[in-house]
Amino acid sequence: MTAPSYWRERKYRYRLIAKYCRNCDKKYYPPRLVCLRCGNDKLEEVELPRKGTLITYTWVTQPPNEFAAYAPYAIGLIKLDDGTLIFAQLTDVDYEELREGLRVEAVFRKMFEEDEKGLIYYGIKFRPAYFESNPPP
Amino acid sequence: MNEVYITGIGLTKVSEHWNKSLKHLTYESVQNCLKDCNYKKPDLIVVSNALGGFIQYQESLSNLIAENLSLNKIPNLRIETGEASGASALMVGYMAIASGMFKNVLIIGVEKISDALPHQFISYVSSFLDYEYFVYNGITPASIFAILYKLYLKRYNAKQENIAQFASHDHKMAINVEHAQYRFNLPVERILSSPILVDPIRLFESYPVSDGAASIMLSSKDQVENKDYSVKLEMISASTDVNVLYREDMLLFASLRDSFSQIRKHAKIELKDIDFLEIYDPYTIASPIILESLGLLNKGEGYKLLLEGQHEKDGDLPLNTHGGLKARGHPIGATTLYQVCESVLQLRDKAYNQVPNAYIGLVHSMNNIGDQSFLILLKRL
Repeated sequence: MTAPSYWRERKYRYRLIAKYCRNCDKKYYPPRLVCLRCGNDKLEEVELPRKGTLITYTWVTQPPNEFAAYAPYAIGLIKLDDGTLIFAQLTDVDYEELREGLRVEAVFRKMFEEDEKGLIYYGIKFRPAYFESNPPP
Repeated sequence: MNEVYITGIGLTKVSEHWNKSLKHLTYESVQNCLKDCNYKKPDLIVVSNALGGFIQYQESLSNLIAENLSLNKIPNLRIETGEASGASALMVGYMAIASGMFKNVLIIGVEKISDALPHQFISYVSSFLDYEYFVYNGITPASIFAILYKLYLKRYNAKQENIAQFASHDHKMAINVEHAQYRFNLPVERILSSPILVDPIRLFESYPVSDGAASIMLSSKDQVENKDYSVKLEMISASTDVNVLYREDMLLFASLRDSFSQIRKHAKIELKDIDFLEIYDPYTIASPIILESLGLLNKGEGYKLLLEGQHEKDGDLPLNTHGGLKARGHPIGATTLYQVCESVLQLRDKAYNQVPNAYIGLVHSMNNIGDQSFLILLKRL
């Protein structure tokens, strides 16, 4: 991957920005340029909620090359609090602790890196929303 | 619109061909195909290959293959639509003949996956997804199928042993098939005790690493010499769907449903008219979803006919009679062409697992998780 191809998506990746069609009240993440229902190309950019519920999850033992050093890792299908579905990696949690219905929150993390002179790629992963049920004193 | 016929087929064995390159594999399958069609001279070459650019660093593949076959001065092109590349190449060939522009079109599917290291291969095959948002987050096609698997088991209260049975079925079929990659019995107990690939998908529930090439000669009606050997390519229907995250129901391939309604409408064919079915089943969980999306079975009952034994060669609807993607193998860009070649063998009464009185066959092909679906309808003359 080259630096420009990384930079131009960083807003959407770092801040979970989706495209929103006001006509259909539908959000698209990964962002799309045109509404897939009505063809509206005046989509607005909206920030997605950073909390959600884990619908289901799995354990990737055969990763793409980029993630070879990090496998095995867990990924989840997450329903964000506005109903948007996304796939994301799950972090800060043991696989045995995962369960369907777990409350999760977005966290900014390193995704992968290239060699010594290459870029380090960042993005969003999700972790259990620990403080939601155990508020700090 | 002109009618389209398949006048020749040629295969190589599906295997890990360490000593053969893309050139060798295509040469072998094309020689078999040319011999089979009594050495017709193609006037167009369409090559289906999905990953040659990644794995062999080879683009302009169709021209290289044409040169290597000494088929010069003939237009050639390469088609890539991910896992459905073979179906798309066939569709282009169909259009070329149907339009009247060409008389004989040689379709070549070839893929050589064993040249890639495992991690590289996962990267390449994941590139069929939206790289910037799926692969960037570590999501692979296998992991999406695994998630569908878990959703399926939960929603329909299904048992994995019933779904894993599809791999067992494929392996049983492949035992007799000379060109199949894995010709041994695989009981469900062995599948379920194999290592977990992506929870809950077990190793033997997944397609293997395969190399292979398959070629087909498509011809117009006036080129058909041997009626016992030629098969009519009645129709190819295609449809697409949005990625799984945007779908109303993840456990239904809407593109396949659309694709079949086109067949029903234009070819006036219902499921009961079909004598055998070839489906594109990279993971066992794909099979019940495909059969349900076709409308053959109710939702959540996709493995019912399998358990009743109706997918055997003498059952109500024989399925994957040459081993499917798991046992025959899955050389990606060539896979659909293998499926079609095997169906032609069925319609010639020359199949390894011959279906009695086979007159109409249906071949299913897809890209990703039903993002693109194709159905290919074949008829005996």
